[in-house]
Amino acid sequence: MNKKLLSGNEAIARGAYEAGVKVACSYPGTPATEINEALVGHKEIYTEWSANEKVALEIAFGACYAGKRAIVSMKHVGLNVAADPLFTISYAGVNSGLVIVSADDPGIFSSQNEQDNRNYAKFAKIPMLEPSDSQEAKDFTKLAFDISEKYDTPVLLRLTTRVSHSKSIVELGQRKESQKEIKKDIKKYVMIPSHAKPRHVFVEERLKKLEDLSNKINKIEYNNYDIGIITNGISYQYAKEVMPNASFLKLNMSYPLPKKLITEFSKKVKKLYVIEELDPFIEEQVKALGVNCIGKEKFPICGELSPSMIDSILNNKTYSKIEDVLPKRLPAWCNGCPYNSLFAALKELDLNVIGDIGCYTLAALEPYNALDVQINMGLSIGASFGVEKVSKEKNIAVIGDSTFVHSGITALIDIFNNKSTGTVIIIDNGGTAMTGMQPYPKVDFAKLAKAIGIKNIVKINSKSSIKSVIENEVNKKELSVIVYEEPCLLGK
Amino acid sequence: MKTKDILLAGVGGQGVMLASNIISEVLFKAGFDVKTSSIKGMSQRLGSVVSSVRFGEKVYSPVIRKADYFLGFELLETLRYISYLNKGGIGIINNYESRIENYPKEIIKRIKKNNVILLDGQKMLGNKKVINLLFLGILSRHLGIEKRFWIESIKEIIPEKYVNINLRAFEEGINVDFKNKR
Repeated sequence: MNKKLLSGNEAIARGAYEAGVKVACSYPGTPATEINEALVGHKEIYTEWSANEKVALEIAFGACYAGKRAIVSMKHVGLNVAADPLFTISYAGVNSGLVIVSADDPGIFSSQNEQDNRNYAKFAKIPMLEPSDSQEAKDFTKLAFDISEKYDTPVLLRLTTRVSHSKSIVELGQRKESQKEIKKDIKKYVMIPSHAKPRHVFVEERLKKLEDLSNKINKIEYNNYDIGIITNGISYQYAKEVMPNASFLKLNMSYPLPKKLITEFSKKVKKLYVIEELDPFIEEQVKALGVNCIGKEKFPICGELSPSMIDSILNNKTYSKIEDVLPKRLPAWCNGCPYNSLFAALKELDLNVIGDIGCYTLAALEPYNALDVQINMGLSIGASFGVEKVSKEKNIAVIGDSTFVHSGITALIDIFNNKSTGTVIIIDNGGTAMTGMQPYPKVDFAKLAKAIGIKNIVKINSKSSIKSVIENEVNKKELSVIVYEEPCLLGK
Repeated sequence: MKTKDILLAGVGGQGVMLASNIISEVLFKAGFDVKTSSIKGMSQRLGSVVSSVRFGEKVYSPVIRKADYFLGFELLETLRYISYLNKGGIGIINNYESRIENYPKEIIKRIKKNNVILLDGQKMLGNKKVINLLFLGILSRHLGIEKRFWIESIKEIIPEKYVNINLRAFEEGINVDFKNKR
């Protein structure tokens, strides 16, 4: 038997390979990056690092419309960007299988928020599978493609950091090619109102059928009847570890929920717990069935769960979370990083620096304190224009090259046409550095700015007199774009 | 067999992840169920790195509650995680400081227990890059897994041109005379 030790992410990639996937797209983001990284290099699969998650999903959808299986992977916040196509692809459905992988980040190890993307499954009315280890990650990926084709729906495969980055043993299988061809069906794929209305009816019917499936593929493990635990993903492994004798309803498919199984399970066990990370997603639906359970009154919504925490809550032990009072190693730029000279200049100029997402966000920390705002990918350009409209204080937008291509271009066109007098610095280091220098669809930033109509375009590098250039552009009464060109040390 | 837990802690660039990968591969080859969990800081270099390996007949959680074996590659990171080490567990600690602001004083006093072995890896090897393999050599004496699994895994995971120097460090670890090193 061919077995291998794989991370959850590698196992998803292996599952996609075995499922005969032809197209795999992603925008890099922790904890999802390794999925696409593991797919790059398979000669049978077209892979790319897309401009953003929306484009990635659109390409994958095109491939599935044309009859070939496609997978798209992203971190949780990436699905916000891809949400627009997601909600209507749900109506249109698929030809070949389409699987969307969302890697959530409970505990916020490397993200800007802790959103629970299980809500997207309910919101977009699509089925969701949640693996709890690497074997399941591979198996559920293949299952997701089968469900996608059988039920004419995109499928959400939801991971969390611990599942993505933990390794466990996986049994490998053979690749099976996906065989379909393009199949025109205007009423299904052109979502004008007269077509969308019947497709919405279809979606509601589909959910009912998926609930039947959920009752079949979710499993009850009866043991001692005193305590019953409904749980999902990594929380299952934690709970099983500390409560090996309890009864479990393990939700492999956590949307739609298996209402029949839940009711049956709740009648058999004396005390029912719902153990899930982040939102009371399962708990609220269980309670809506009129089933009494203990959930978020005992378990926190914020942060990760852990075996120790579950043990302390279920067994009334004092929970001695080890408080880390020791000095922390704050994330910092690599020695010699060219961001140093840029942000030293920005700090001296004492501007409001409206930032964006990338290694440069670390300028907000000690000892630099030279970045004032960071919310989401591409916010800097629009937000700095908002500041400009209401404040006399000088401000500047700072955005990385990959982030600019991801979500900055439309904002630049907007603020130029609305007569911004601001300044935008595009930091061009040649790749998506924070996640390991993945390539992105490259563009000549100066030429692009010129094509938009911007007159003041300056290219600088670490050897330029950065401070005076910035000062000069900030003081102009027209929009300026400064391109700071210095390759990332990791890419050298 | 009860599940056993190994915890490794250090800073980026010390080969903590590599050591964790080798251990888990060895245990996998030896026929155990294995699960690992790792957290790296956001920084590319010199951030905290902590990784755990659990093995046994059937492992559920990849996240540990206590450690039977602890490999500390750096003193502050050791201090951060040493409380995980079981009373009867074994700690192998590198006497090395990767200093940051407010670096705690007298760490060695605070971590020194009967079952903690303190080593000066760099002095022993003259090469800090392979201290991780020295530690694996020492760990291998306690885990009781056949040596061929270690050699195979090292050869599989480490790029060919570095295999020999790593194997030498591993052998050094197997043969450390603790009566003189403690």
